[in-house]
Amino acid sequence: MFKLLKWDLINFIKKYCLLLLGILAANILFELFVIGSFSLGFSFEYLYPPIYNRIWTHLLIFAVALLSMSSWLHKSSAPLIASIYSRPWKIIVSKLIVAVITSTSIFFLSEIIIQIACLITNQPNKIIHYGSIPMVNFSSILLYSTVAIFSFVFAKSFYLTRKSPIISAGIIYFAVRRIFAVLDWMIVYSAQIMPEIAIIIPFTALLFVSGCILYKYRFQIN
Amino acid sequence: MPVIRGIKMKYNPTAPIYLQIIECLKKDIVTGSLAPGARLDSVRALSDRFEVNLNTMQRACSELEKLGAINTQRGIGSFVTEDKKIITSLQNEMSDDLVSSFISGMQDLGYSDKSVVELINKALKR
Amino acid sequence: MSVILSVENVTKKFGRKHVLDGVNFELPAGRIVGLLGPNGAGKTTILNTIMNIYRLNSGTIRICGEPNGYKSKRLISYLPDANHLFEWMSVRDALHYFTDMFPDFDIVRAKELCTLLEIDEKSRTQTLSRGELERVLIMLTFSRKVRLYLLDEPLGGIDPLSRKKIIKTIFSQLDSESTILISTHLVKDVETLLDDVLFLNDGKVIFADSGDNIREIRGQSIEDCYMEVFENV
Repeated sequence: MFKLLKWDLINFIKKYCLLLLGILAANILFELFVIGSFSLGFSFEYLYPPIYNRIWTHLLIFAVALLSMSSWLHKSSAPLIASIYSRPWKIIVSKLIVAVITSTSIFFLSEIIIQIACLITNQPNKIIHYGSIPMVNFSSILLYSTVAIFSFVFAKSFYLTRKSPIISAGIIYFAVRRIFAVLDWMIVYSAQIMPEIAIIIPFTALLFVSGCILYKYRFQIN
Repeated sequence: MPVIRGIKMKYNPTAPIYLQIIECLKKDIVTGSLAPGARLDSVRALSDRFEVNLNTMQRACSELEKLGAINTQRGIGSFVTEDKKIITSLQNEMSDDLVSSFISGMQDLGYSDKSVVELINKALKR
Repeated sequence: MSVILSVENVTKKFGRKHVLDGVNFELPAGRIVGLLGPNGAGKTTILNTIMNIYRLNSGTIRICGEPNGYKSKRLISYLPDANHLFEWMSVRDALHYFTDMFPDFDIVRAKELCTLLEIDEKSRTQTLSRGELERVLIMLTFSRKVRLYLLDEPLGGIDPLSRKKIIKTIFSQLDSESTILISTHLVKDVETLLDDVLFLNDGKVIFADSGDNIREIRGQSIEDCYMEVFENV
C-alpha cells in the first residue's frame, strides 16, 4: 500500500510540479483579488458574487484529482499500471490520498501566504472561508475529491464519450455534487436531523466503495 | 571442456533444426572433436552455444541418446559414448549418406559408373 | 504438462467492429510461442485483453487456471511495443520501481542482464535509442520470475546487434515452468526462436502448429508456411 502511494506521489510531483505551483499561484491571486482578502484601494468582492468562490473551489479540487489520476489518462503507461498486482481499493485509496493531500496543501499554503502578506503589508485581513481548515472543510475536500475520482472511474467504466472521458467525468461530477447538495439541504438544513459531517462521511464512503467495485469489474484503461 | 566447433551454425529454416544439430554433433563425435567418454555441457549451455531454443536442444540430445551416441546419467551429466562400434556405425552411416547423394547427383548429370570412378581418382591425385 | 494460458472464444468489440472474433488457443508450459499475423490482426488487442487493459466482451481467459483479473497479474510479465515507463524515469528509477512494485523482481538477475545487454543505469529512458530502450525493457521484463511472459513486437526496428542480444536473453529465460508468447509480424527474425506458432488474422486464429511439424511434415520454413496460409486467406 505504501509503496503504491510512494510511487503515485513521486510520479505526480515529477510530472506536475510546475503545474501545481501554477495552480497554487492562481489560487492565491484568486483569493487576494476576487475574494478580496487584500484591499488595494478597491476590491472586487462586490463585483463577483460568492458563487464564484464555490465554482473555483470545485474546479481546483476536480483538476487536482484529475492530475492524481494521470496515470490512467496516459495510454502509454497503461501496460505498466496494468501489470501491478494490487487490490483495487488500494489503488483508489492511493490516488485519493494524493488528491486530498494536494488540494489541502494548496488551500492551506495559500492561506498562510496571504496571512503573511497581510502581516507584512499591515493590511486588515478578512478571514477567508476555509480558515484553518476545520473538520467540515477538510471533509468537503475529501468528499469532492472522492466525487471526482468516482466520476472518472464511472465515465471510463461505461465507455462514455470515448474521446474525452474528462468531459463525461465533469458532467457526472456536477450531477453527483447536485445530488449531494439536495441531500444536504433536505437532511441538514431543512429537517435539521443531523450535522453535515454525518452525511458527508456515509456519502463519501458510498462513492468510494462504488468506485472500487466499478474499478474491479468494469474499468478499462482504453 | 569438450570443444564444439567455433563455426557459427547457420540453420536451414525449411528442415527441422534439431536434426541439423544432431548432424553437427554426430560429425564432432565421429571426427573425435568430441572424444569418446568426453563430458558434454549441460543442455542449457549447449542451447546457448548453438543459439537455439532449449526444447530444440533437448530434442536433439534425446535423439542422440536413442542412437546411443551419448549416454546420460542422472545427476551426473551427459557423456559421449565410449563404444567404438557405435561411433564406427555413425561414421559409416554418414559416409554412406554422402556417397549415395554424390553418386545419385552424378548420375543425374549423366555420368556412368566408370566415369565417376575416374573422376574421383583424378580429383584425389590433385 | 500444465496449461499456462487458456483463451476460449474470446471476442472484443470496439464500437461495432469485432477486433477479436472468437479466439481460441492454449499454451502449455515450457514453450516459446509466436503469435504471428499482419498489422491489425488483433495481436496487440489479444495481449491487452489478457492483461485486462481491455475487458473482453465474451469468452474466458485463464492464466494457470485462474480467471484473468487483478490476481492473475502476479503471474504475468508484459512487454508492450512502446515505452510504458514514466517519462521522467532513468533506468535506475525503473529498477527501484520494479523492485518495489513486483515482489518477483530479481535485482541480481536485473544487474546481470544490464551487464549482458550493455545498459547504462544512469541513462534516462526518454533519451535512449529504440534498440537501447528495447534492451532496457527486456531486462525489466525478464528479471521478473513469472509463469507467462508476453512480448509485443520486441524486435521491430532494432539494430542487428541488439536483436541478437535480445533473442539470446529470451532463449535463456525459458524453463519448464513458464511460457513466452511473442507477438510479431517479422516472421523471418523469429524462425529459429519459436517452438510453436499461432497465425492470427482478422481476430481469429487461422492456423496453429509446432515449428518442428511445419518443417518435418510440410517441409517448409515457418516463413514459407506463413506466406502460404495468408495468401490463401
